Amino acid sequence: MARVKPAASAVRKKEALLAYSIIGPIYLWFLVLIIVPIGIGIFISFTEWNGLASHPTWVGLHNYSTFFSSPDYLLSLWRQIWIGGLGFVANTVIALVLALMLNVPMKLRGLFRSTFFVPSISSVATTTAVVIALLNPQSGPLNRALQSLGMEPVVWSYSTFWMVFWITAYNLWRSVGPTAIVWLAGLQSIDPTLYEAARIDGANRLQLIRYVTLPGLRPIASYIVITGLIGSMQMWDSVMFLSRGGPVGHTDVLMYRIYRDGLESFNMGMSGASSMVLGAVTLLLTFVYIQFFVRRQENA
Amino acid sequence: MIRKISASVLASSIVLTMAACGSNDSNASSSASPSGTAASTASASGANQNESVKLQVVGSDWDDASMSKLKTENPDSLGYLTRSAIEKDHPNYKVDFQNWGWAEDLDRKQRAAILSGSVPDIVHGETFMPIYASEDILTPLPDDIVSAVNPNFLIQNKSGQPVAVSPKGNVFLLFYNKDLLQQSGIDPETVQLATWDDWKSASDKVTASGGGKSFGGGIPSHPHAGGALRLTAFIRSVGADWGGGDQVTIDTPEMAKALQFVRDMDHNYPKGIGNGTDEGPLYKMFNEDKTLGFVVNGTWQAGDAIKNNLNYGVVSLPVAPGGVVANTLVGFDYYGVTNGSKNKEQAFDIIRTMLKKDILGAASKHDITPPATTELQSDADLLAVSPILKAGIETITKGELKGLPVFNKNNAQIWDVIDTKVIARATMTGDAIDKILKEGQAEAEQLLK
Repeated sequence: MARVKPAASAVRKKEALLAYSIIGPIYLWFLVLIIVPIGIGIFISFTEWNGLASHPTWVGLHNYSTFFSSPDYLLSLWRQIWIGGLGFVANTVIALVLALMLNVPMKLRGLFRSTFFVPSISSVATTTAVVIALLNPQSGPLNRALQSLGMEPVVWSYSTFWMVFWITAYNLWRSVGPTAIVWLAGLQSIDPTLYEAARIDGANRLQLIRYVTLPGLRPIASYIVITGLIGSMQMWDSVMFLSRGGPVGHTDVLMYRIYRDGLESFNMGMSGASSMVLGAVTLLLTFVYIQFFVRRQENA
Repeated sequence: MIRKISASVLASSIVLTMAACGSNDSNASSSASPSGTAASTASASGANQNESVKLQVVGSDWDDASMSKLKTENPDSLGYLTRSAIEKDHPNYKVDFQNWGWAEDLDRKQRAAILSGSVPDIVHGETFMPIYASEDILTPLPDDIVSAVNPNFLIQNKSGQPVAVSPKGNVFLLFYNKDLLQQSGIDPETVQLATWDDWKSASDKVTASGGGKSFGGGIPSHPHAGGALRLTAFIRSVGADWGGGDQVTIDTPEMAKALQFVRDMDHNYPKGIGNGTDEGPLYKMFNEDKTLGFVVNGTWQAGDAIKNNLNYGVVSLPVAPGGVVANTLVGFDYYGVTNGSKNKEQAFDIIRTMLKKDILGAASKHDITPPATTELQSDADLLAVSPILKAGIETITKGELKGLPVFNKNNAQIWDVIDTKVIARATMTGDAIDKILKEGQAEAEQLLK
């Protein structure tokens, strides 16, 4: 026994070394690209720094106090939640409907699936240019169509309703394809014998969806909802390209402010504090979803 | 020690996250801190003429990719001519010519380089260069450069020393379509456009006679710099301005008067054209569709006028009733030598080369853009190149002109408020001007705290 023990220990050490060499790079990657930036972000949020001075000035809770005492920051957080949330709900629901349609056996199904995916792989510059050209109040195709129908042209950029609509539509156009593909993967992972059994029990089409499809999609739904929630809290590029926060700041979302604070005004402290608040709100929403929907369903 | 470590970690992280660019040359400087060294007036071409010197300079149109393209497409580009001359006249200068883009992208990359300690010898840019100047990152310009250029082409540091120069720059002029004026019953050869009232009267007539197909045009109020730059040129005529530094002066009676005029003139645009996020449709109306009577633009308008065979006229901007001649500097690309540079005199030689008569003259002629040097501004050959260039040079040499003001804190955010919640709001909504100004002032003040 005494002669075996060192050999076993050496094997264990070798195995441990092998294990660490496999997971080590991942941990290092996680540390360098996630933990350290988050730590620096938290630190910067308590400082004032313009990116030119050699070191930041510690200001304690001043940036957080500015955030919570300023109606503009609070309003932009609210807009992030509702405009981002609107896009998230629209994307999730429409992608599901699309996936249900694309799951039906038909001719050219592969072509349809690819078509919905195209906007998401096109460059943002190209897709934005298309939407901006559409919305031209003077010579845009949309207004020309309205005028040809005898209607008054719409100055889209004057209206909060229309700018929110177009921001949502643009995001939907770009992201509905990939989400539908994920839903589709979920649909195709449902055991076909469950449908057969339900049909034998007399279920109609709606009942098949209600009692077989939707419960079967729960695992994939968790993924779509959580990544969608996070995405909606990070939505800003479409705002910058289409409305620049207008009209009169009514579509100015918090992520767009964070970008401007950090990389245009170089007010790194305020940008850091706003990022922390937005991160906390995103975590809270995700926690609520997991706690009240995923866990409840698991327990049921 | 903790400060040094935190500064190093921050610098590294910013470099990692912000800079996806730029080669770090072997002449990397050890510190970004201001040296406080005043540059001498002597050129480096004296003492160590043959000594090899390494420099890294950031600028436009002089990186390897641009050089090969410009050689055939635009050999009169300032960057192309400058690099060619440096390579010929200073073979001992081993210069890494960099092009890091423009606007925020350029600013981010330059700040990252400065923070990392790998400071370029020359940095450049427009709106953020006054901030670099106030942060004492730039070395004062030698006297020979300062004395050669019009003061409107310089920016100063906090002590008032010139630290950066723009070889070329622009101001706004009022261009008009002679054919449209003629069709409206206005003689384009004798039209009076000296005052706001003159202009409004002419523009109203073009709109009235256009029958909804052509319009007079007014003052752009796009919710971004494209609107602010042009509009500021007008508000200064009544003595209004936005402030700058630690002060915001949005809510003033002069500003109310100016914004009311902007609102009145906006009726001479089709709705949404003068204040849209995309300014392209407005200039398309003037240049290609030829359905806009007037446009406020810089001398670069010359290129479009020629390309589109436009029958145009050009005058200085109209003046407010009882007001003064005013304008805004635009399109200035300032170059400065950093305090972190180890070869300041050689770096200044590059700026001197940009300002040489043959180089800058050729670039100004090609771009139809006023040059910085007083010698070229009075050069008869250059003034004869184009009536637009002549009008631009005459305007830019008429007294002291300013660019858009820079605020000490949250500069971009305050400009967002001015652009979207003051300027664009004045024409996009029917809200009372007083209310707009009061709310804009309060919000901007909050951002300055």
